[in-house]
Amino acid sequence: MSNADYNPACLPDLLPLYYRRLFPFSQYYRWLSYGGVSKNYFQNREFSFTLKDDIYVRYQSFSTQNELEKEMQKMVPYKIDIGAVYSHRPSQHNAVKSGTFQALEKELVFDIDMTDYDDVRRCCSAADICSKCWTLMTIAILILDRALREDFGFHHLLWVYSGRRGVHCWVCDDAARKLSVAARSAVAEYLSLIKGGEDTVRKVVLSDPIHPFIKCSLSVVERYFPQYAIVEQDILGSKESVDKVLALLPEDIKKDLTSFCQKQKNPMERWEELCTLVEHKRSSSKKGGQYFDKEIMLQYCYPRLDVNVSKGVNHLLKSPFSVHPKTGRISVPIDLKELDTFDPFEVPTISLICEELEKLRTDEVEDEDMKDKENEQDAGERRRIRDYKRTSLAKYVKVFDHFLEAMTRSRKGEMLKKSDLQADF
Amino acid sequence: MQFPGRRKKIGSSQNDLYDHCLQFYGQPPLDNISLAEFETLAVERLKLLKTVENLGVSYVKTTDQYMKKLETEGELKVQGGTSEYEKRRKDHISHFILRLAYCQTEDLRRWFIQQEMDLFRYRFNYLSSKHKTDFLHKNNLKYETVSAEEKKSLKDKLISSSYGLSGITLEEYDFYKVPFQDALDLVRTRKVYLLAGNAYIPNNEIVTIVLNDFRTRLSKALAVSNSVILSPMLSMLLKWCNDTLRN
Repeated sequence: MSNADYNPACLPDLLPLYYRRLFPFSQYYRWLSYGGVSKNYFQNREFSFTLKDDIYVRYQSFSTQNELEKEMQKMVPYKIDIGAVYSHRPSQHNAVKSGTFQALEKELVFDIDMTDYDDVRRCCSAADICSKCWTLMTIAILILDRALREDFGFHHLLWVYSGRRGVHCWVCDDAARKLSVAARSAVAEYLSLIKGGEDTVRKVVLSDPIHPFIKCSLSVVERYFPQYAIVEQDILGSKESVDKVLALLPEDIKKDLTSFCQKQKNPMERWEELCTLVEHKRSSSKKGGQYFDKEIMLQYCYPRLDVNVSKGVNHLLKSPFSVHPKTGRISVPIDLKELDTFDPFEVPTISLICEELEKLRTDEVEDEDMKDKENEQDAGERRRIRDYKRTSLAKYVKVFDHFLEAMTRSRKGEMLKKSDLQADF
Repeated sequence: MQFPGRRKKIGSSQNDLYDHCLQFYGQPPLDNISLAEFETLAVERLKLLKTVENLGVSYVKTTDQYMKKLETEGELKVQGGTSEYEKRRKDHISHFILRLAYCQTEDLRRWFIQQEMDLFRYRFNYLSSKHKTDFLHKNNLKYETVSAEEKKSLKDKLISSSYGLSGITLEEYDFYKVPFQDALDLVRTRKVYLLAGNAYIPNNEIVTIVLNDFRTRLSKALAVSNSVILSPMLSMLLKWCNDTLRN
C-alpha cells in the first residue's frame, strides 16, 4: 500500500525529516552543476519556495550543496520550483544595475497536464486521474520523447511525474539549455497538433502531405487507440459520446454512421465502420486530405502542450523530488524502460517513505553510529544515502542516477573530442 | 630574361573582399573617397533602393516579372568603371554610406532593412547553385549539402515534408542540412524534415535562412551605427541625400 494515509496536516512534521534524511541532495547538486563546466552555473540558478501558509519566495540561490541543504532544512519548503540560470546570483538581483540581471539559460521543459484533456476523457475531470486516462500520459511521453530525440537530436531527457495529474519533461542537453525564446516556441509549435480551445469542435485538421512527424505520432496513437478509446473510454458507446465523435465528421459520413449505429451496438464494430467509410471517401474523392479517422484518433489521444510553459527562459517549473502538498506524492523520475507498467498510484508518498524510515531506525545497529560520529557531515550524507536506499524512493533515485551518468559520459566524450581536435596528448 | 615585377596591388586584401558578387556587408570599406564620389554613391544607392521599393509594391516579389524588372532596373548606375570589381566596390561603399543615414530612427532602419533584404533576396536567387554554396561557406554558414545516397534513403520523408516537391525535383535540388535553430520559421510551421537536430532544406528555400541571417546582422549593425557620432558636415550631407530623394 503506497498511500500510508497521507494527510496534508502531517507535512510540517514529515517535510523536515524528508529534507534531512531522504532528499537526494548529492545527485540534485550534481545535476544542476552540469559537471562544473560553466562557472557559477549552480550559484546563479533561481529556485523558488512556497512555504507554509502559501508564502511564496522567489530569487533563492545557493553557493554550495551544503548551503542548499541548510536552507531547505531551515525553511522547509512545501513546494520547490526550479527557474533559470541568471547572469548574476538571483539572491542578489536587487543589487544589480537595472536591466543587466538576465535569465541566460534553462532546460527546455514540457508540462503535460491531464486537465487539458477534459473534453476528451469521460472517466475523470479536473484534478482527478485514474488508470484508464493515465494511458494518455503514456502516449504523450512516447510521442514527445521520440520527437525530441530523433527529430531534434536531444539526448538527455528527464521525465518526471508531477505528483498529481501530469508529467514534466526536462531536456537537459547543452544545446537545449541555450535555446532562445523563439527557438523554444518553435519546438513547442512543431510538437503541437491540437489547435483551439473550448469553442473549437474539430481540433485537428490534417492535410496532404502528411509530415513524417505526424506519421510517427499516429503510429503510436494507433497502437493504443482501440483499447484506450474504444474499450476503456467507450467513445462510441453511449449516444452522448457517439454524438461528440459524429460532430467531427462530414455530413455524408455522419449520416451513414448514424444509421449504422442504430443497428450495431458494438463500439468496436462502429469504429471499424467509421474507418471504412472514411477510407472509402478518401479513395473515391478527388479532393485530397480526407483523414477524418486519423484526426479523431489524434483529437482523443495526442499530447496537449502548454506552449507558454516551454517558451519562457525564466519560467519556473516544479522540481523533481519535491513533494506535492495535495497528494503527498514525491515528484519522481519515470523510467521509460518500464513506461507501460508505471502506475502513478504506486508512487511513494512522503508519509510512506517517512514511515519506512522510522521502521529502519529501530532496527539500526549502534556500532555504525559510533563510526559516523567522527565526521558529522559525511556521516549525515552517508546515512542519507543508506536511508533512501532502504525506502521506496530508492528505485526512483536510481533512474535519476542513470540519467546523470549518461550526461557525465556525454560530457567526457565531448571533452575528449575537443582535446583530440587540439591534439592534446 | 626579365620578368615584369609583380607589384603588390594596393588593396589586394580588398580584392579578397570582393571575390564574390554578393556579400553580407560585414566589414566597412577602408577606402578614401572624394566627397563628390561620396555624394554620388549615396544618391545612386538610394535611387536603387527606391526602385526596389516601387517594384516590390507593383509586383509580387517571387514572380518572374519582378525578377526581370529588377534585372533591368536594379543595378547601381555608376560612372567611371564598369568592371566587376568596381561594381562590387561601389555596392559595398554605397551600402555603408546609407547605413549611416538610415540608422537614426526605427522607421528609417525598418525601411532600409526591408529594401536591402529585397535586393539581397533577388541577387541571391539569381546565383547558380554552386555560387550559392560558395556564398554560404564564405560567410560561415557552414551548411553541408545532403549526399545523393542520403537523399535517396530519405526520399519519401523529404517529399512529404516540403510542399511542392516531387521525386523529380528531389533529384534535381540540392538539400542543405541546417541546424534547426537557424530554420525556426520552417520548424514552427512543420514545413521541413527534421532529423537529429538538422532541418533538411531544399535549394529554393535556403534563401529564407540566409535572409534571416542577413536581417539579423544588419539589424545589429544598424543599432551599433546609431551610436556613432557623426561630424556636422557628414550629418548635413546625409540629410541632403535623404531630402533630395524624398521626391
